[in-house]
Amino acid sequence: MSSHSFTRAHAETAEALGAYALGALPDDEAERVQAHLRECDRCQGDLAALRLAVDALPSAAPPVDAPAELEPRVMSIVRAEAELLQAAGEKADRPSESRRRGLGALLSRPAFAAAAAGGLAVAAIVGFLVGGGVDTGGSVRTVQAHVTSVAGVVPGTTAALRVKDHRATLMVRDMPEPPAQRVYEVWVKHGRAAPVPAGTTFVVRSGDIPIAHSVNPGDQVLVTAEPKGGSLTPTSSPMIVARPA
Amino acid sequence: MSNGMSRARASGPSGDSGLHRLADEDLIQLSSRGDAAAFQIIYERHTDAAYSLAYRMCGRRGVAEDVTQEAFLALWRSGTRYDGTRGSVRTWILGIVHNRAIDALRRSLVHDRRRASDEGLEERFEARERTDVEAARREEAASVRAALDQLPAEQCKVIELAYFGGFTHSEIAEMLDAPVGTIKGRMRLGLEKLRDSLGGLQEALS
Repeated sequence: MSSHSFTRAHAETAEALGAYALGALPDDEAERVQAHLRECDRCQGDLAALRLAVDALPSAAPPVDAPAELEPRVMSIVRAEAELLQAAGEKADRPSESRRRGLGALLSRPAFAAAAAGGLAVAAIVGFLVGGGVDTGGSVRTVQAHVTSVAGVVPGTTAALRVKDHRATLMVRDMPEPPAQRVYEVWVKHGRAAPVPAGTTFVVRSGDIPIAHSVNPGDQVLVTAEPKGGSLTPTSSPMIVARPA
Repeated sequence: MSNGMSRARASGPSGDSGLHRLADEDLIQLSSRGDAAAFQIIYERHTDAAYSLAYRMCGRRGVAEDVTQEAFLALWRSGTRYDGTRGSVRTWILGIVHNRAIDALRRSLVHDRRRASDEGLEERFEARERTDVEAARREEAASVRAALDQLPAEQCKVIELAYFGGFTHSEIAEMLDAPVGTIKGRMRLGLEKLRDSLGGLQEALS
């Protein structure tokens, strides 16, 4: 970079540094600032000083107690993922979380990011059981699974599990598109044992998916994104977790 | 677990588990290796601050809950990315919350971004003081609030609109009918004054 262009970039960055520290720059301008920061020690120092102020700003928010129901909701997801990670061992991988902002938010959404990068599947949605079973007569039992969008991808996604005589059907609505070269794969987890493939993969966003493997009380039904053809052990964290009542 | 485990600096709920005596930095290491119990302590220590920030930014309880949940799950899934040289765990967590809240605001999940609340202002002050550390944090909050109030009004306003409102500089310029360059200047000047007036507070915060 020439001296002239460096000087111009330095002036632009110096002017924008406060806005950058506050996260108030659009993506293109933020990227120019980042490029200059990589080669300017003085601006790096100035930014570090400004961040001391920015880091204090959260303290100015009036304190409010978090809702008590939030902790069991978060921890149910965390424990389910921890169990799966433990069961899958070293082969398990955690979903990545892009933090790109602004207009880049769309690409930062995990499903899109993974598709764009052609990389490992990313858990965009984690489902968890919030309600009890609903008897619909006979031996049919339907479990409603509340599905939460972790990255805000598809807030309307829902899932439920219907079980009749140990045969289960997973009913999903408005799932995100699976990442490129990936399919959704269903797993059945018996107690603390490693999850086993249910012999069922799908790519539809909405539909009723019969699960080939038997499902018994106490089992968990999980859904992960896997390479086409399916995997023998999960390679990503579960996107849906449902536990028959 | 490393031999270098430091003693806890952050407060947490009392409990008989040895994990409760660990510092946030140590718990993050355990959490990044899939230790859900370690993660839960991190959650308990910082969830109120996280939710307070999310609620201040989004103004609606449901959205603030979603943002807080998303932020902590992101933390659970990316614990290995924590870099202790760039700030405390608390700062890191609140940074994630801030980014998530801005994403929510910019996705227009919050239709009225001008800090309207559907639940009433009084709810924002419902938190109780349960520990000395929480009381100390209230004092810190009051100090930061006072430092903000000492800023020239136009500087305080652009900082609040940017940080808590999630607006870009051009949106603020349009809102305040001022040139973008002026808005950028106010942001930088305001932050510099805020940093100077906060003085040694940062060390206490971290």
